Amino acid sequence: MLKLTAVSINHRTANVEAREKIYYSSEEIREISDKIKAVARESLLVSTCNRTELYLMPSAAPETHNSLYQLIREGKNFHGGELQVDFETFEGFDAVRHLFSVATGSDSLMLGDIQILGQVKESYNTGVELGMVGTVLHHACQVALKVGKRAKTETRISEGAVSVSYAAVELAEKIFGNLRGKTAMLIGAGETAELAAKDLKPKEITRLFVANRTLERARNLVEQLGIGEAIPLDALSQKLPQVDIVISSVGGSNYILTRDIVAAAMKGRETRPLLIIDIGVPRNVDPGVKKVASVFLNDIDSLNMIVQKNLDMRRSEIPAVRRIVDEELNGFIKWYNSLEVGPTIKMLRDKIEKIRIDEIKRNKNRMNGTDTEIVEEITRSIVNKILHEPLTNLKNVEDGTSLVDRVKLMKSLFGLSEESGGKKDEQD
Amino acid sequence: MMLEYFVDLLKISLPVLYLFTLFLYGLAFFLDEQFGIRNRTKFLVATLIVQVVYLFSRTLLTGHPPVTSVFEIMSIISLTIGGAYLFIELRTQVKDTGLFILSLAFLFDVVSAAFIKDDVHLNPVLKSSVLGIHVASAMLGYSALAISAVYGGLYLMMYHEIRSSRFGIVYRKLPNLQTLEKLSYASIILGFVFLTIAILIGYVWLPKTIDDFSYSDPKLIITDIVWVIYFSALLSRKAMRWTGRTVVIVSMVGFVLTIASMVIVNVFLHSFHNFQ
Repeated sequence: MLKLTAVSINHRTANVEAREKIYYSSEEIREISDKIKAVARESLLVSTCNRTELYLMPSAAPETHNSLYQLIREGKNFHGGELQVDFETFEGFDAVRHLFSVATGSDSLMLGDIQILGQVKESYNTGVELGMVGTVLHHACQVALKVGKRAKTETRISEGAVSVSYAAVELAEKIFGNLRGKTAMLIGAGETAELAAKDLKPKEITRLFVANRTLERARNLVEQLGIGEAIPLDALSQKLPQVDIVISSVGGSNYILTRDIVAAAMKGRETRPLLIIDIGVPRNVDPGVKKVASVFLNDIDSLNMIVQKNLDMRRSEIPAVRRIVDEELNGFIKWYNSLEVGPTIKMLRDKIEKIRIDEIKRNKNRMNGTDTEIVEEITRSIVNKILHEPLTNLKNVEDGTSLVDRVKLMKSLFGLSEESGGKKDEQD
Repeated sequence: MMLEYFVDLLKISLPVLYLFTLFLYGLAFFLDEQFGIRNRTKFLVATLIVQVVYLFSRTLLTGHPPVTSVFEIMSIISLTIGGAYLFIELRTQVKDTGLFILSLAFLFDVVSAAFIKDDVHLNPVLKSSVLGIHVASAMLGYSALAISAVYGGLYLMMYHEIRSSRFGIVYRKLPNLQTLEKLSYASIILGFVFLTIAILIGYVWLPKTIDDFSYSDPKLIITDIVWVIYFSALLSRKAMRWTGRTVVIVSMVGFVLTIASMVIVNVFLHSFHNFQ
């Protein structure tokens, strides 16, 4: 069996405050790496805002789960206090399976999160740089990255927006395609507007108007975003003809955008579409605006519907992701077991060769020079022929018996010991 | 005899191949099945190759290009729609519209396979090499206009999906409105260019070849009217800065008018432009 232990503190075992406190930056991983290496032959520390996980192959006596958990806590000088923190553990190939699942995003708080793959890669690179990762974890990480990529390309686990603000951006992209060069307007400078603006900014919109009752607050948001122009609320009808996307989230009981205002703005735009997303509660935009040609009006319910449908779709992809994880885990198990075969073959060959040479030496006086050469040749050929079939069958696991069992049987039958050949480092 | 069997075999196989290709595009569109996603384009290419082999073998068998009847021409239209779609798919990597456009190619092929006849009297006009270019241009032109109309239809589906806040499979799978509009518009341009080439060749070549040629022939007049409609639409788009819904509605109306006028001319009016 693979002696690998994983201890995971994640969104199921700890609240966000605890997870934040236990998060390790690359620099902090560097600081704790010596302590981990002192008890581990191989190790990997994966830390993101939603999980901190230690994968460890012990160098001597197996570490208890609790001692590994304490190691993680001590590294951050975290004592829990009133915070409820627990941890999950995984052993052997289950730990590898967990790492693969993490890489796919199917274990993430935000199901199908695509950032996690990059974070696993970064953790692996840090582990390599610090000399923590060895043969087994190196291969496990390589396969985990492959599993993550396969899940992303072969399933829909990461498709579609799963936050309201990103659903607004996705909706805009469904209308305009590329948002580069488009002009957006935020009505309201609150938290929702800020989130929407943060999702719009990377799409390289050219202009952004922030309209708010309090101009000062609009200016603050513009400053914080590093893009845009603050305008008073009563100036929005003048700017509206230039705008492609409006996201409105302001308080108040009256409609900010009436049908007349929007119809007037559309006159100067020919048939160029205008997307208005009303996430204000109560609504900021007159529902009659929907009847104006080339105007797309969607409200918070629409965005919630998009998010819900995307989440349902991602959930429906979990079985497909699990199939990929299982496929790659089977490959990993075969690879791990194959590590046993090479040294065993070498041990067997060495042992038989030693017997052959010893016997020739013992009988050397009974042969002349030519006889010795002939006997050398014949015995070498006999040894090769005898060994050929068992060694071929040793690698062939198609009949259902496990490679591990075959290797054990081979060692037992021929009395092969650790001293007689190169035993792999990772051997149990 | 062998060639005849071979042509018949291909004729029967083609609708099956088209149906299977559509099935793969459907699997990918509705269920995101990996088998469909991985193999749909490969099967489309295979189907088109079989269709080219079929039309070539048929030409060898009958001794004339397959343009002597409406049903032979339908097979060519099916091929040009499939080929034009493949070109668009490879250029844009937009694959989720294949189900809709290839349905049109399938429809033309099925009708062609069901009614095509092998013993058609050969009109001497059909021996001219210019005919191939004339017919090919016309078929490519009409196919591109048909594709434009399908993209227009998809645009309207997407447009109403967003306007009515439904966000179902159409919203998830179809490309964005901007892309659909571009594809529809680019197809109109292509269709217009090919139609222009076909008309020009026709006007230069037909009077020299056909004894009872007349500029007042209904088929010529209708084709000219179709050309003028598209030309006016393209000019208006530029002059009036039409975008989005207006462009695709014009494309769809243009195509409906084209089909309607062709049916009227072929069924109800007499034309010299009939070589059967």
